[in-house]
Amino acid sequence: MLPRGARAQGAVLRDAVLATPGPASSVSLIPELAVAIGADRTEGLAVRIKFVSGGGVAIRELLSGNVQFGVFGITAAMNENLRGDSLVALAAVENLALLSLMVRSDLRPVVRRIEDLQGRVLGIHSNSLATMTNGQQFLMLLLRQHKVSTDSVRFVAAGQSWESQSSALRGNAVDALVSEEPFSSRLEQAGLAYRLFSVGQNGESTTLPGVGFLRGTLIARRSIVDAQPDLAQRMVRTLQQTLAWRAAHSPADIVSALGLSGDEGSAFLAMLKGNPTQFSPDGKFSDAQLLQTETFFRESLGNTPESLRYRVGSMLADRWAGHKP
Amino acid sequence: MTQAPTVADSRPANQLTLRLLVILLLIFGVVAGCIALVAQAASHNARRQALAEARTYFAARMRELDDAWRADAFTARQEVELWLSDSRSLDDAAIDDRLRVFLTTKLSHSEFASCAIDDGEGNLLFRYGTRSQDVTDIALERRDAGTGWAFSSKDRTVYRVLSGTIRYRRQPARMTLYVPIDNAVLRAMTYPSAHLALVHNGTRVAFTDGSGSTARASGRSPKGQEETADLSLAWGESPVAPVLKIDRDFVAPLSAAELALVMAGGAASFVLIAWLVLGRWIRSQTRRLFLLQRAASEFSSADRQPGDGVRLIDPDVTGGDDIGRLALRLREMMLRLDEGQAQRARASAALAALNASLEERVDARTRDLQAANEALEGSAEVTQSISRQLRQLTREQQAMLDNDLIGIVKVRDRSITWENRAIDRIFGHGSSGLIGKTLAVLHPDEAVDRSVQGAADAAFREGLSFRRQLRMVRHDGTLLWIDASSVLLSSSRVESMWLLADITEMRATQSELEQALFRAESATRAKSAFLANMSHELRTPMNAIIGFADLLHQGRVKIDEAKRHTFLGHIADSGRHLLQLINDVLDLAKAESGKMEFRPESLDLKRLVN
Repeated sequence: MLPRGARAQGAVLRDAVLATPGPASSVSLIPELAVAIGADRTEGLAVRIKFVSGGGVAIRELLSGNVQFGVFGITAAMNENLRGDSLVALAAVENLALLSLMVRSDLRPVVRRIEDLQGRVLGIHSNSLATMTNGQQFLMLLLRQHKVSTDSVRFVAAGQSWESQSSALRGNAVDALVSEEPFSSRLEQAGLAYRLFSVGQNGESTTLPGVGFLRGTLIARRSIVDAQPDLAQRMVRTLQQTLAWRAAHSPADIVSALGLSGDEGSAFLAMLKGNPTQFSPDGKFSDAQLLQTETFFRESLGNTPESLRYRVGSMLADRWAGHKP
Repeated sequence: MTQAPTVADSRPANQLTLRLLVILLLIFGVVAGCIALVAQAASHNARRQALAEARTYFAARMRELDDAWRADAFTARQEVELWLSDSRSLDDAAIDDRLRVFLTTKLSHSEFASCAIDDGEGNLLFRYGTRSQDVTDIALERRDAGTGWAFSSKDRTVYRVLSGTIRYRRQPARMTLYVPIDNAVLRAMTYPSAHLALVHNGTRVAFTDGSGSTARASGRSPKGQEETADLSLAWGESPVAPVLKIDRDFVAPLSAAELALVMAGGAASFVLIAWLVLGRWIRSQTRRLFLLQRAASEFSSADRQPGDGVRLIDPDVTGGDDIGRLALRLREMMLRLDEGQAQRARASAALAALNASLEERVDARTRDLQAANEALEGSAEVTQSISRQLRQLTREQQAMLDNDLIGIVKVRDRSITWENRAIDRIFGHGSSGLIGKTLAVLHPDEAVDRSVQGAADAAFREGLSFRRQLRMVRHDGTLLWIDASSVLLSSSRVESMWLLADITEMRATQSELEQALFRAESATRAKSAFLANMSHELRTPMNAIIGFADLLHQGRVKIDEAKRHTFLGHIADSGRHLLQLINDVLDLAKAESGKMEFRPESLDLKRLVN
């Protein structure tokens, strides 16, 4: 745990509400850890986490004013900004997108390639006309790369939690789904699904364009940052402290700090051990990674004119988090 | 002596100017106060109306939301029943899995944040939602009624709770859906110029600001011209229902401070303009009034000299306006009073001088009277002689008045007051028969009377006497010719004396003479005409005689004997004709002188006629 700072002692904590898909997901790890280790209170904040079923819902919460911050995929925020430049990225949180396309176990004999998914029911984080999550973008890119038409498959929402994804697979509601660590490992360990395609796992490299894109990012409404820069700065510092704490501690300490146990804890521990570079150590934005992010964003949207015109640099508010090559 | 107004003299003028300005400011202040009161009342009424409208709107909006959520919850239960309708062969875990799949989509696309299913006794069978919405932290109200309220202390969120019965795991169960009354819900209750907050147990748990800032927590607006009115509405009738607090901003046309500022600016501008534009005029007028006041004061002072006060009313004071006219009237009045005083002074001086000389004159007169008295006493005989002469003169005058030829009457105010005896002789009305009557009785008719009186009055007005020959009438109706003359004896009493002489006989004689004269003149004119004609008649035969005679005598014309005989015949005829004319003239002379003798002779009447 972080020592209580002098500023926090006896001071009135300022409320800050943050939405993130979870709980106990890779993208919600850092916010949960920040609360767990008291990094928010060190900065004079009392962060409340509002767990949502996916990045799309998190965006909705941001835009509706229910929350001031969100940690989710930056490409989902970029997609939202195509309709209006309302969101900004404050800090890099998760460097790797540990996404996997998991296929229900009983389909192992018949689904061996991406192309075999034609006619199948595919689970995505959330099924919305208005939003597109990181996992959905990943799935679209994967299908396009393997010449699988989106009209030849059916999409249903499978959520972004262990509960929803496991239930969808157990109930045969989906044939395959996009999952992210540590849920994909748990699904595999539980024998519910097998991994058909993965990115960013254990240094695994694939031919997927923009595969090194920035995943979890601290996002806020631009109006909030403009109106309350002090609050945004404190939130950035909170996450930077948490990222630094995570880099300085062992996976076991992190799992312990989060209070995870059982299968959930084990999966988390495995994820952290297998992917030591998964999280940013300092919250700084990397130019190379942003380039990868733009590539992934354009490819996932089929290089539409809007996506080609959009520059991720236009939504960066990195005066507190910083920048690096 | 009168002096020009000095700086010290202008003090009253300045005081008057100051009073005028103070009055103007007071008027301005009263008007401004009325405007402020009206503006405040209008703003208050508008605010009250806007609040009433907002109250109506939000009450209806909360009912609409409640109705929509009930409908959605009912639909969701139906969908769950349908979704699980073929799950009889599934175990409980598989049923839960299927339900989670359904709820994953359902909760993402509805207002519901989480779902819980219990056996109706409070024993939880199923729960789905995010971990933070921990049902154990939620206190339900009126769960059995189907609707209620819950509060998550962890989320600091108030939930609308909607319950209903379903079949779950092959038994009746109660499905509860939770709607967070969060910022998104409040934002959906769009209303202009309103800021909403949801308060639970005195704690603000949601607001439309969305920034998380507490800047508007007090509900006060940072702008001066805006006013904020607080309105609180309970969300339903439950005592545990949250309260919707509405901060309604009113942008008043002018805030009290701005209104005061505008009024102050207006007053300053008013005074400045009044000072620049009207000040000079006011000072001029006040100076004129002051000069008038001083003039009146000096004029009324006891030790004033002639001209004091009047000199202050110079051309600057007078003019065409009211003050100017007043000054002119005052000046004229002063001048008249001065003139009157001067006249009285002169009269007093003259009276004093007269008084001074009066005693001397009285003494001298007394002496003269004494001397005259002494002289009179010494000449008593002279006095008796004079008295006798006067009496003689009076008798002579009475004799003249009582003459028998000319009638005399005195007329006063058109009535005859005295007549002499000749009047009775001329007009026959008896002695004193005309006393008390008017001269109209002597005139033939009223027209003549009016004409005579008018002519007499006209002559009297010009100081002349009146004289005219008139036709007047005797008492017996006989018309007379009267030579009337009149003189005015007294204009004040309109008394005149009329002298009436009877000239009837004289006028008759005069008429006869005129007729004789006319006849003589006619005869003379006839003779003249006769002679004029006769001269021509005489010359014609004379010319013939002389002409033929000259021709024969001079021999210038050679004529034969026959012609000579003819010429001599003409001469002889003309001579005879001339002789006849002369005889006729002589006959006329004889006839005129009465010597014509008539002798009877025979004549041929036929020849005479032819």
